[in-house]
Amino acid sequence: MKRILIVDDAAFIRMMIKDALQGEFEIVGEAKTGEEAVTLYQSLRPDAVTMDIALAGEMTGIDALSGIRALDRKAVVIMVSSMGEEAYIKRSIDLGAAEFIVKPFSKDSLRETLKVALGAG
Amino acid sequence: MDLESAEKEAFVNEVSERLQQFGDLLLDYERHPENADLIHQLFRIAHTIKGNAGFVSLTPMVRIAHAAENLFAALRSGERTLTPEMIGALLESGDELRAILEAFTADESLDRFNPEPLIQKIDALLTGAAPAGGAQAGVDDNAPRVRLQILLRSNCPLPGMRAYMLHKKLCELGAMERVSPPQEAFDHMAAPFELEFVLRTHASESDLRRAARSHEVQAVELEWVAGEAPVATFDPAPLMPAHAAQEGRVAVASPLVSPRDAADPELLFSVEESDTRLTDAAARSPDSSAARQLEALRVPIRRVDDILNLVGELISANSNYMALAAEFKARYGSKGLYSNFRENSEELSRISAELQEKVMKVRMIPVGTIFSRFRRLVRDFNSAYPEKEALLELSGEETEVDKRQIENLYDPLLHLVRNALDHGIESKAARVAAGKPEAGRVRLHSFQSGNDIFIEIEDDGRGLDPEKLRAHAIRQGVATAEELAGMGGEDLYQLIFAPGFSTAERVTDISGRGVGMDVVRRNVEAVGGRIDIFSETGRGTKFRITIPLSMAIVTALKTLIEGRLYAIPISFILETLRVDNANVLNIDGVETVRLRESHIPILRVAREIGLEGVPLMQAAVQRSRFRNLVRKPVVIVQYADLRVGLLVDELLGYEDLVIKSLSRNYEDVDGLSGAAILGRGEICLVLDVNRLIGASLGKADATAFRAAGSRPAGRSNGAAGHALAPSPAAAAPESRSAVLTAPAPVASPAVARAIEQGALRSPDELELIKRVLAGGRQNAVRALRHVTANEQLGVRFLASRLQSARKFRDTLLERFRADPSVACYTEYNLMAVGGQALVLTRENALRLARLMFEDPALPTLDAKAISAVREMTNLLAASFTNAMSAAAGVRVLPTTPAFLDPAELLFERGPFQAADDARLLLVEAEFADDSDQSLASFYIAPGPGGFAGLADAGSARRSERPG
Repeated sequence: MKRILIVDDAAFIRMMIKDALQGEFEIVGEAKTGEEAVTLYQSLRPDAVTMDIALAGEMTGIDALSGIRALDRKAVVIMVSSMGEEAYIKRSIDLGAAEFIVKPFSKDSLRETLKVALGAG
Repeated sequence: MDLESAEKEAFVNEVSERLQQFGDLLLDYERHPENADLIHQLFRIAHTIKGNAGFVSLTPMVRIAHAAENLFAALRSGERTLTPEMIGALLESGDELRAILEAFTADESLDRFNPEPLIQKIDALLTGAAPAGGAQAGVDDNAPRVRLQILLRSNCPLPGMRAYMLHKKLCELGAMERVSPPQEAFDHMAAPFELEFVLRTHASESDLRRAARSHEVQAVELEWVAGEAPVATFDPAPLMPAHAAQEGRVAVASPLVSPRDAADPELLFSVEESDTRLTDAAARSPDSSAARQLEALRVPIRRVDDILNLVGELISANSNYMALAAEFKARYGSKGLYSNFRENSEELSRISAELQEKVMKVRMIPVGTIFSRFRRLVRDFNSAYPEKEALLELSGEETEVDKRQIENLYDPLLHLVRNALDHGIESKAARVAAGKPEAGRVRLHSFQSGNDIFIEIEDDGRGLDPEKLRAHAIRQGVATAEELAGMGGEDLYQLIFAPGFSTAERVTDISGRGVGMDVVRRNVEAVGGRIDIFSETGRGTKFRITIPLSMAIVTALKTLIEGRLYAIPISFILETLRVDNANVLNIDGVETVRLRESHIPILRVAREIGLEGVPLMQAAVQRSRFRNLVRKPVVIVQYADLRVGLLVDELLGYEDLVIKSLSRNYEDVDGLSGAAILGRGEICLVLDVNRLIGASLGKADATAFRAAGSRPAGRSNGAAGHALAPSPAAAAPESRSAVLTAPAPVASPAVARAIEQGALRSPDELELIKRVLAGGRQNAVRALRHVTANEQLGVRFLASRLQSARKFRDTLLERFRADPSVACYTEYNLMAVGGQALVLTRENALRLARLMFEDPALPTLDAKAISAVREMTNLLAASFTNAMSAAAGVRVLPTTPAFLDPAELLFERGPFQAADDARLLLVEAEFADDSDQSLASFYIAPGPGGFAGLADAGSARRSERPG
């Protein structure tokens, strides 16, 4: 099972994502901040990361994406974004995000997006 | 071709049907190559076509079908694996076969058909002469050029971003030469989202396809550009007839519209999905009628649906204007600006209505396309049963019906025609003996009248025999002799729709085992229609299917039932009355009202849909000397042969509603067929009249119900007669009032009253509150959709009101005593601290969490569940503070929600502490769930400054904010 790290500052969204992925993916960790995300990525080396694009705190999701990509050029990071965040999405694509998904999303589309990004779908 | 015309027709029908399946199955197979059943079916079809074509000596057809059959065989055995080229070649075969069939049908010469290039192409694919080239590093001028056409899903969020991503990924594989639409225009794309990239690359087709893959990509078409393809890649152009090369791609059910077609302003739209006439045959004979079909563009029906939905929203939005106009008039009188406003709004109405009509037209196809399929059936029947003879008469074939509806009606029609042949039409001998012509007649007739389309299936056979029906019903346990005693002919006919009811004396190939008249009715009802039976013993039977012109937009009467909005589609409504208590008579336990000369059973809708209300005949009201003033509206509807009155609380006028189907949770609720969102964002549920009445007929009192309905007024009739109370003398004429036609103005009386009673400081404050409420509600609905894609979870807002804190506290405490509750509290800081809270019972908190997580198994109100309640509070609070920000021009932010268990803790927080006459704004939010009951209330306590503070805050800006 592919190992996933979930990064979001909202407990509800983290749980939604966890629920969606349960059974098909292994959730290896959850992070609430960008700093945590980079640290956890380094120690856990997950197969993919779902990254809230607009993390609260010092480090945004974009910063965390660059941080992770700096550690691992092949890191698969899926940005979790919203309408109105187009500029951030563009930036994250430029920075090598593997995929992005727009809220609201169905559980299916999240799973599919992850599978496509992991080349397993 | 010296074929008998009947034989020829049979051949054409058969092959035409197979070809239709062929195309559909191929597309399925492309998506599910692992499905062994699909390949098997395709193989069979190719085989059958080959066989049939051989029989009529259509050599080109035989050869193509044979080549396709070989390829299918290789695919089936696993000798070959499916490639997109194969699908392309096979679809092309389908087109070529159809072109040949059409030429054959029109008695045209077949000399112009040369199947060889196509056959060679298929053979090449069969022998594996076309393996894909591998990716190579580096791009140079000699790199092959590839064109990718990518169709994004119509509901793809942020298509511009998706395009940006696809562009980037493809750029990584080669040198981009052309991008359409240009990159700068990505953000402004309108549906359908089609992208075209041309690049030079050494990447393999699979690499390219992988780069283009995404959940949001619906279709990818990849084409190596002629002459410069990798050695092993197949270039179709030189091997195909010139026109086929151009047209083939358009014709093969590609979801992509050819740019050439799209640019032609003369194009007609055709949504006929089965239209495969855009073939080279058409192009080669420009004068034939087939050539004119080139003017038509095949459009996936989905796209038309998208447009129709938008038109629906436009109409919704416009009814908003109408309501605004009414409010405008109420406030500023009916002069000057108002009449201007109204004229403009009416103009917009007219245009939207016309647009709606035009778009709906696009989905319409003549009913004849379905009717003609029955010719074959009748012919087969005649040859299989020489003792019978039936003639099929078709009329009204030009009547246009919504394509989706007619497709759903095919099965019920087939069933009815089979029944007519099998059970209706007598043997020749019996007919002659009865003095009828030897050949029976089955007539299919269709016509449109008003907002309805009628389809009749009539035979001149033996008709339904009430005695047989009666005996059979008893034997099958569908009804008891007692129940049947009072039933007249038309009531009896309804019995045949009972599950399992059949009077078939024998089982035949044509009609099978008499199952399914109940299925017939269900199918008809599924498209919003109904079915009536007319029959005369010895003379024949007629079934009449009535369907609304389109299901998408329906004119309906809005009613209020127990404070909720329900709509009744106009197609069912005969008239409306008002009745007072004295008019309601109880006959055998069935309540009836008198309408002119007869009694009509009434249904209390509130009770039927589980909203038990205050009974009309409440004792207190009955004793009151005002009892005759308590008049309730009754909507008389037609149910099969029965008139039934639906008792509601209020009539609110007619409106065009855009009906959306109900979410999963509602599906099993009998009596509801859909929901509509009104101009003001209120949700109006649409009553499913058939099921509503059907359900009550299914109950024990059905016979009495029917008996009551069919009894003439004032006349004693059998055993039940004595129960019939004398009709009040003056009741009938006075109790009727005119049908309401104008939509009632939507107002929010609670807020309006508050200002009258001095509960509000100024009209400005009222304006502000209205703005905050309107903005907040809209934000909330949007935000809710934003957080989860969960269709089951909807929010609607009930009336908001201002209330004193003291009253509020007392009411809530009372409630908490009865139902242990929890609350979630958040506050914002403006001129003073304002608080907001979501209050709900523990049980509902868990339900809400289950809805939000779409997890009905969520066990308890644990941390996970609480996170959902918090999120919902956050969402609502932010929605309203956002609206406050907008109204005041300063930023208002809510704090992180605190979960309070028990809810009584709320009275220790912020402005909710006040137990005096401070005013609180109460916003009742309801979350949709299967029980259709309110799950939670949301309250805003603006604090001592009230909302008037918002305006002050706006002018004072941030500097004056405390803290």
